[in-house]
Amino acid sequence: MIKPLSDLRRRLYLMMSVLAFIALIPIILLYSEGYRLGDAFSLVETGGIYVRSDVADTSLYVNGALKKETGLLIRNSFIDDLRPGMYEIRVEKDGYRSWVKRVRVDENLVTDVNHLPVLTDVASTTVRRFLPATSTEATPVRDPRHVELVRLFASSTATTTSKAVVGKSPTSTASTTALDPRTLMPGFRDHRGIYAWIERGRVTMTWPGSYERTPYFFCQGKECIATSTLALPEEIVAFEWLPSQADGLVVVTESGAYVVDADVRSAPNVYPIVSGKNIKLLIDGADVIFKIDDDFVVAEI
Amino acid sequence: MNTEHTHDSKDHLLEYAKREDFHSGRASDLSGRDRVLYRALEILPAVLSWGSLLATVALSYFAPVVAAYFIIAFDLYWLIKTTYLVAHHIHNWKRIKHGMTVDWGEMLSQLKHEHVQHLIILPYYKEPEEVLRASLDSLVAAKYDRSKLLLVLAAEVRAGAEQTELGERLAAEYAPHFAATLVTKHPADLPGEAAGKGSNISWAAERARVELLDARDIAYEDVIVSAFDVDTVVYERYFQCLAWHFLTTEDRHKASYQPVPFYYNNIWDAPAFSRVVASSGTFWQMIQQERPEKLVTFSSHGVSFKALYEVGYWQRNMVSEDSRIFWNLFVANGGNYRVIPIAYPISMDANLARTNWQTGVNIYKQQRRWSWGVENLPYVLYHFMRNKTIPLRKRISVGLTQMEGYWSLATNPLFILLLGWLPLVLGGKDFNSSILSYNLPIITRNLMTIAMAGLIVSAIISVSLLPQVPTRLSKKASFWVLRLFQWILVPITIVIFGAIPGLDAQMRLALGRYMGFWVTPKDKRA
Repeated sequence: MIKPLSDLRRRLYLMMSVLAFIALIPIILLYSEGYRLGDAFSLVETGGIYVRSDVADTSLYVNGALKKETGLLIRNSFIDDLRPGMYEIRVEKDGYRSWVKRVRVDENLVTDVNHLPVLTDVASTTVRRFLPATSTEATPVRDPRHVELVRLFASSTATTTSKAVVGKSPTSTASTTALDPRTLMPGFRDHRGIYAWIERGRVTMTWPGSYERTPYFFCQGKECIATSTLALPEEIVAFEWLPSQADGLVVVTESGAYVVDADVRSAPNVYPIVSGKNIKLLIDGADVIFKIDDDFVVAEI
Repeated sequence: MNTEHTHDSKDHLLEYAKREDFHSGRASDLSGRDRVLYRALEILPAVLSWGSLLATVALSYFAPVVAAYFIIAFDLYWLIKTTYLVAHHIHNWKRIKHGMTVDWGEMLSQLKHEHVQHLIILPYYKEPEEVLRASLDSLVAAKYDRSKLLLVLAAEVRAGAEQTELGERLAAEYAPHFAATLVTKHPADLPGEAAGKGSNISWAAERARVELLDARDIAYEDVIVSAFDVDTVVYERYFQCLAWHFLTTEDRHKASYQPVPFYYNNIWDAPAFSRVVASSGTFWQMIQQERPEKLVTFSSHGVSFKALYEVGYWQRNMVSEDSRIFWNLFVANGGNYRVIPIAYPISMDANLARTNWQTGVNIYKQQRRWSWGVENLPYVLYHFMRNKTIPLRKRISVGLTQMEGYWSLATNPLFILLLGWLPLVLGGKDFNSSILSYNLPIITRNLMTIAMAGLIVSAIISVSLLPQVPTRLSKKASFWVLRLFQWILVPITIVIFGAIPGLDAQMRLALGRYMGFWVTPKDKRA
């Protein structure tokens, strides 16, 4: 006959369980708070970095060492066990430009960054006023796409002017923005509640919303600032937010157009897209359209 | 020993069982301060469950760090508890496997056992004839001296003359296999009764006392009552095993005898989620078999007729008569009453209806009825306050154990599966920038993944106990795939068929929306 578990054995199981709980709970709680064993069994406080990305299969390097490789489903990476200090984060992916960021890590806190994926070869189409000449046509034929883009730019300028004057934005409440003088600033754009405009050749970005909803790139740990400024060696004359979910801007200077991080807590990544003077810029759906002299370049970034 | 007491006499009852409030089913059965106290105790389980759930939500908002600590501590507690319970589960599995190979007849032959009689009560309502026949056939196949088996088919008059006639026909057909058969007809709407199994089997037990035991001059202390569900199918050595445990138990009339409920009658016809819920029920009962201080009679069980008679049989005015009879006996005997786990199975039906949706609905209703066992908590606590002959330490220990049981049934699955994310959602920016907030889901996931090892052990145990797969299914690849992956459903089933019906039952009790007896439909084959 196999007897039921004896009281003695059950008490032993219970005591082992209680002891396991008592022994493990402080270790797990300290671990979850970022404490790690340092030299001579001392406790050191660590922090972490969380890298979000919209693209799959990236390789993440911290100070030059490969730390994580993401997959199709899990595209974000959490790097912990980092002592407080400055770290260089680099994200690599075949077909994309390297994305590098220097970030500060504080003890018991996580620094959030967003990878800005930009293709090495940005797919673009140039649209000229006339279609390429053929031997059968006596006079040049106007490219209908060019006509359409001219109309698009004209209507866009009107809308932008109107929006700036009225001071309403699609994502903000009228009561807030109608009275906000910032909406009258040159090139004013409202991107998911972030106000941005050009001021003295720089893009000024400000968060008028609550502290709780402050975008990550306005904050370092628990400290957030109200306004940040994006500056390039050349004056910025125009800008638009990228149509993708990534927090990036397309900016135009005297010499060309670039894709740039909105995150300016450290030097932003600057990716040249087209070069030329007097470039005009328009976002149409997923397309970024540049007007260079009389031609248009339609790019998907 | 045989007496001339009538159904209404109280002379045969234990002293405490003579109290007017002994068979109270709900607060409204009492008056004055007793009623207020009982009502407060009815509200208590819902307050504890909802209180702790809402407290965790509030904590996640106002003190997310504390909430995160609580959730991590709870996850670790759950992991260790799982390990602790799995050790019990494995041991009980060994006992069952061994118990099914033991020659209980041989074991019994070494004891003086000829005087022991089995009174088998099979209550039924409107179940199909094939369900009754399956149970009766198993009784016929059981190894035991037929002259010691007394069968009662307990019919309900409210089910109609057709059902009563069915009982009489079957009783006549199966009579040669028993010392005696009796068909009892429980009248509808007797005063002070609620429709359900409790009132039916109490009526049947009293009729059996008069018409079978007294008529044959059988001593009550020699009779073991097996109060079965209509779908109960016994394994062939059940009565030998039960009698052996009865005879070898010290103070045998101060104990009930609990087999392990398997739900194997139709297990291969039931959908995967029904199999998982049924297996989970069996797991829990197996674990409880190794924790007799927490074991309470459940569903089909054995009990001495003498003990039953001393408390006036099962309660007639409530739903959970199977567990209430234990508490009746416990308080009436001053706490000197226990359940003997016999580690031998009986088999019943898994839930099965004509559609999967209806099966799901039936499982929910059955689980809610079982969760309605929470109606025992006010009864237990009320009588613990009244009956000072029960040692104080026992009252505190048993009371807390019961409270924890109902609380954990309704809340723990929700803590595990849902609340781990609450501090992230409600904790605000400061919390969400802390490394604790990033580690919380990772640690929760890792602890729960390790705890899943316990589930794997349980799944292996389940596979080793299941009956052979019918040929019609064994050739289907989809069946094996489903059988392997059905365990993934456990996290869902413990919420939908565990926590939610548990909370539902507690809310009904708190709001005074008392449940009636819901008869689980018995469709043998969909």
